[in-house]
Amino acid sequence: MREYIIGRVMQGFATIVVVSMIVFLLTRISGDPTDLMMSPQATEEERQIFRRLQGFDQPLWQQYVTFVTNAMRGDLGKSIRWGEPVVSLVWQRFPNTLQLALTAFLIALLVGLPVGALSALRPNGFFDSFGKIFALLGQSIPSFWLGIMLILLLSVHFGLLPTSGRGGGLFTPNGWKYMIMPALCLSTFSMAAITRLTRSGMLDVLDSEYIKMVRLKGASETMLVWKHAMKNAMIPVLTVASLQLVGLLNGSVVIESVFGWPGIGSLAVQAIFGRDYTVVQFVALMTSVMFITTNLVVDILYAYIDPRIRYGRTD
Amino acid sequence: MPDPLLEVRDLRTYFFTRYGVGKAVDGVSFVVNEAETLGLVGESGCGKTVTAMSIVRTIPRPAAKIIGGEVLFEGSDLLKLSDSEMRDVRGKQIGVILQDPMLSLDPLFTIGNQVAEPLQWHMQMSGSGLDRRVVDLLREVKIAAPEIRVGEYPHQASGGMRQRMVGAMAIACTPKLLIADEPTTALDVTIQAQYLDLLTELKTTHRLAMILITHDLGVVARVCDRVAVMYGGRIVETAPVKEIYAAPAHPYTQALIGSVPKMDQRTDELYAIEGQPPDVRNLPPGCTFSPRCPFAMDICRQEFPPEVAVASGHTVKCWLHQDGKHGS
Amino acid sequence: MAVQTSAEPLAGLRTPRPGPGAWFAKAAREISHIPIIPGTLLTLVIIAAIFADFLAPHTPSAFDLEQTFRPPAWEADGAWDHPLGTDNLGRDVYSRILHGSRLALFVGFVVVFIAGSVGTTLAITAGYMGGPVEAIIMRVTDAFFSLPFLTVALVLAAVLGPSLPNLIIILALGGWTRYARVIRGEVLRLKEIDFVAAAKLAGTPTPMILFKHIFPNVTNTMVVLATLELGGTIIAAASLGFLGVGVPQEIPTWGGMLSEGRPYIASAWWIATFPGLAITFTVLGTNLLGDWLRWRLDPQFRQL
Repeated sequence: MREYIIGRVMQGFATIVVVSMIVFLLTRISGDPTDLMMSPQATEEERQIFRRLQGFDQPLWQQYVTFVTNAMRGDLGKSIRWGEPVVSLVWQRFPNTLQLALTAFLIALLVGLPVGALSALRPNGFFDSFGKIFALLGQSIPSFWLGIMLILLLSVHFGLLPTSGRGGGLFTPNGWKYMIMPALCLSTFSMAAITRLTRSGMLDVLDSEYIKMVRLKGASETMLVWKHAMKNAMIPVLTVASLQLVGLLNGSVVIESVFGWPGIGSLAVQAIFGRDYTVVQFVALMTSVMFITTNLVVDILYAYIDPRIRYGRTD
Repeated sequence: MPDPLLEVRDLRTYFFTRYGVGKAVDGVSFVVNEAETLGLVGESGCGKTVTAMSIVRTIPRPAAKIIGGEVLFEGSDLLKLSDSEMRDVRGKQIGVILQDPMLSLDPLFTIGNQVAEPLQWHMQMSGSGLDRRVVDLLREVKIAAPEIRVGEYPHQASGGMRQRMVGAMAIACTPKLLIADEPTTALDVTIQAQYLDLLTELKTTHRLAMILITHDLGVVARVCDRVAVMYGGRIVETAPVKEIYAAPAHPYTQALIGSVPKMDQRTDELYAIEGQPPDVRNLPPGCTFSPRCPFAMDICRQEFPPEVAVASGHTVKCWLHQDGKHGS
Repeated sequence: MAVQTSAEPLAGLRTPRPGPGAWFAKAAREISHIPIIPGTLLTLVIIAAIFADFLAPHTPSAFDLEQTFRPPAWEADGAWDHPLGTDNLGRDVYSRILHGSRLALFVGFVVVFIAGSVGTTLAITAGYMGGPVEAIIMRVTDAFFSLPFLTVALVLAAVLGPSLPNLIIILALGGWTRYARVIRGEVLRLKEIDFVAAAKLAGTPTPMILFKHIFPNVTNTMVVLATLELGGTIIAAASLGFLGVGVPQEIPTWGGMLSEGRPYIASAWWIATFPGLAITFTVLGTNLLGDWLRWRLDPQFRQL
């Protein structure tokens, strides 16, 4: 088990290194990023100054080394537009996105798990048909279009909810009104995925010999389902569910645009259109590292839950 | 003669599939007395497992259904019990051991947890009394260092040990009847004998009646008191174990016994029964064995033979024995 | 004891008997397995894409400033010459949607093909070779997989400039990892099966083993995955179009139409609604088709 953890951590670390290289190269693909980052009106002189300031005249490998060493010190550059350090800029907006993503994740779980489980327990019943259609739609409807439609319906037509903005966040009395639609739209894809996975996981488990054995020992259906079936079925769902959370952070880019939600997604979009690539670089890097770390944590948790990994095999 | 512990009368369990009705169990009747081991023998697909699952009513609905017959356990018909009453029987009065111990145990829970379950559910045991009983049970099935094993997980034990743990689960509430479905088939040959000895010992200690389902005649010879031979969803012969080896009456039984090579015989070819087991969705008219029977007569192909006794405690369903004598 | 024959009819049971009735029942069963819904949806979309020029009543880019914001035909102000209304520049929504299907399908298929090929090749290499080769490939796969797709896509689009080939490259870069992961899993599983070991023992050269034994067995997974990914790619392309990047403005895209229509959602709801419906129906079609394929080819593909 110890070897397993160490192995996974090393893998994660290696992946982060590769990610840093990719992110680093993103802005340098078509050569010198100076032209990318400066407005077309900038003079050649201004460009030269900028170039030297940012170190773009140095050989690529040297730039990368500077990039990494600075990053380890916590310095990931300054926003070209706002002059502030990128890290603090992004960090300000991060909680907003996190709130949104967590809410969406919660919705996805609270709906997906029971629907998926019920779907499997009563195959071909009402919940099963409902669950299947539900999951299908969730994966087919583009979330940002759903957002626009919801705004059309609930804000414009019925005037129930505000069209955009954040309005104080979840902890204010009105805050949730701003949160519902974006969180709901963000959650649809994950909800569908979790429903499907729970359903198929449960179906597999319910078919297994050990569940038959539990039944033969005289268990009641509730005991059987909740103690044995759920725990076994949860393992694959857990892995995917946690990845969904980080995926939500990524998907929020479009949703935040639709709803004017002040998070890192909309920050990234603004930054790109404003040629502020240091900001984007950091957002990309940060999201990736979070993803890899979550993945790692989940794998390790997995090892604790599944005793086959924890204690290794004897046969 | 005291009443039998279990009496199965004309049990019928059919599978309803889109390709037709599969008559997996078609009029099966037999009796198991207290502290007696009945061997239920036959090829794969003859309906042995479905019979056992029908007795404890764990057949997969809605695909399968018990459509007729009675299962009298200590006088009351199990088929008429409600679901919750049946749950009381399962694990408490009738214990079951399945074939593959790797698959029968939940990989996520400790051995102790799983052996404790029937005790918790049926006997409402808990706390240190429960823990002690679990350890005692493991010791009874000859598992070394049971106090350590209770905290371990199934994958940490060997196949033979796992099957013993399943055995412990089955006898935890001191049932009167144990149903073992091919308990040694998935075990190494060297361990099979040990396990069968364990079963025999348990049977004697607890006065346990047992239905031992198997396709292996060697197992039958070692452990069983009586044998019922099944073919195509029906019982074709029932006899005490010695009788069946000495004077098998039904051609199928003869073929089964003949197909096992004997140590002191020299043969050039291994004898195998010609033909295939019947498709239960499409059973032939008359005796189900007639297509493969070397002695088939015209009447065999038209009508299914009634049950006749050929000796004390030995019955067979075969037209060859219609007069009640041994024939061949 | 009663004599029993198996041919005796049993009360209350319906045993199918041979005859014309059974034939119909069987035919009905077989037909229900044909994917009617996805087949219809996708055929419509494909027809739209191929015959857009003939089916569209107007040129998609033709704007007519006298005809701006006409509502769909069934509304008060609408007319059938613009069945789904016009947008802020007077362009016919219906024609633009038909033309948009071309881009959506074209991009979808090409990206899936490229991403699928690259992903599968890497997967087979990694899975079969193992060792450091596998480790490197998998770390790179993990890295790409963990990158936030939209953010990175936006940067690449800005860096590379808006054009159709660039869009395809960006989407392919974002999509290949899924194939790599799933198919590598398949290859690992196949490696353990005896026929591979047997081929090795017979001295079969590695490329032959890969080609003759491994590859044919992963095609099922590939096809199912590709069909399911098609929908995802179309939505991803639409997302990029919605954010304003990817292809130059003149080409009508469903995503672009959504972003154009959004500011007018309160007054001219049709501009943004119909393109979204088009996307939904198309992706619904591919997802249903993918499900049917998965069911048909191997019902065990639950991890997909």
